[in-house]
Amino acid sequence: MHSITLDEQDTFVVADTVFEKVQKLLIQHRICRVCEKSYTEESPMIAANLCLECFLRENSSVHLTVVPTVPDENGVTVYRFLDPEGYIYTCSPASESSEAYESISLTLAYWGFPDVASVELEGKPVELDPTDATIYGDLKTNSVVVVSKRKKAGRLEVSFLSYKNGPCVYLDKAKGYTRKVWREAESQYLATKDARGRYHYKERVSRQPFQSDIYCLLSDNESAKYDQKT
Amino acid sequence: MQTVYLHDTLNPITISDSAFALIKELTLQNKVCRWCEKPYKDDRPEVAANSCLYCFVERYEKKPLAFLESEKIDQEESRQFKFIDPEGYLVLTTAKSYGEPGPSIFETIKGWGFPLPETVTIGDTTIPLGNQGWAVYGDFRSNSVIVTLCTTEKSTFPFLSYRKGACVYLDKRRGETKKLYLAARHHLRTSKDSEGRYRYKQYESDFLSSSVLYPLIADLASAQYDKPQQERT
Repeated sequence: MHSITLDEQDTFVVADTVFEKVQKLLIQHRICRVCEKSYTEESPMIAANLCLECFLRENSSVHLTVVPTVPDENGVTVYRFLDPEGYIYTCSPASESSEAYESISLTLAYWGFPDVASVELEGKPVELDPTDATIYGDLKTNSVVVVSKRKKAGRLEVSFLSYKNGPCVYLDKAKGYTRKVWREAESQYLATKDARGRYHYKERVSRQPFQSDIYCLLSDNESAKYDQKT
Repeated sequence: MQTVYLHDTLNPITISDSAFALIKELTLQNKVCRWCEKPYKDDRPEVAANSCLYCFVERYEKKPLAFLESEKIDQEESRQFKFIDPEGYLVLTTAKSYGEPGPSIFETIKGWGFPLPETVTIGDTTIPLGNQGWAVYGDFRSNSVIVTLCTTEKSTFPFLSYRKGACVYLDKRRGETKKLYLAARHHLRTSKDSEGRYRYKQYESDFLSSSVLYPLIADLASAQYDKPQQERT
């Protein structure tokens, strides 16, 4: 026994066999809510009642290009779109929203950078919030990027060096190799201070030093070293 | 372009008009009762949304609910079903009634032979009264007179309704109805209990409210109305 609501108001109960027929008809005759066209292989339904063409048109300001789909952990097809900076955008197939949203985890996976879900700090495991993450470094050219994540339900921020098709290393600023490369990048950045007291990272100029720029510089430095090794 | 929802979900499925027509026809022709899962027939009609006559009666809160009759209400073969609950209230349903429909006071009053006015004139103003917003005081199964109250956007209007007779405005300030009203007030005042509460039958109140006054007025008016008839017999 199943219920079917028609005309946005009347709900009817039908037997299983009839419901199966209705479901078949629905699959065969589903259309896009914007263009009212049937779905095709070239323009499949990628969000709830929205075809690929209309989705891209509605997100035209982000300049997205389509990249091959991947299945998620449940086997559901995930549609992915690349923005000009190399970030992956996606959409929720169940959502009525036609807005594409940026996904850091899909972005890292797309470019082959490893991701981490938790880190051990002072001998204790710390769960990281997968939705609150930032990538520093050029995704398209660099082979190492810095990934910053926040502790779940907390303000603590932890960063990692993510090596393309390699390891993901906790960026410990207090000891070890990561301290050394962090210090180097920091000194290098602080040395860019000009006569007017402004700091420089590529085209970016700022009146005060920014940690985000040091992370980007660190990404560049580590990429150069990593590229030489591999 | 039309929308279909499956399984009471909030996820709409957009389909073409032609497919919607097909699905609608298929669905309407194959509806079943959500309780017994049997298809509807002439002797097993759908009396409320997704509920057949037998399951509706069986599941109605106030038992026993008895089916009285059905009648066509429009050109599309829609029917209205009339039931009576154990307290004598009439319950009206259609195949589009969701949840458990409560009694229709308007239909109940009329069904027990008490007339109701379509308008009321107060001074120079005539106010239309619909079939909504009615309340009833007094036992409409045994009384020959009841008090009915119609609440409109403008005000609340009480009436004395005589079974198979007239319906008169219950004016508290003048005429015969004023006498009844004052008699009821007097009766209640003298019967005030030690806790300072007014009581009449199962009704009680801290003040002279209509919930206590009107049932008493209905009984007093019934007694008055019945007396000459009893004397005649």
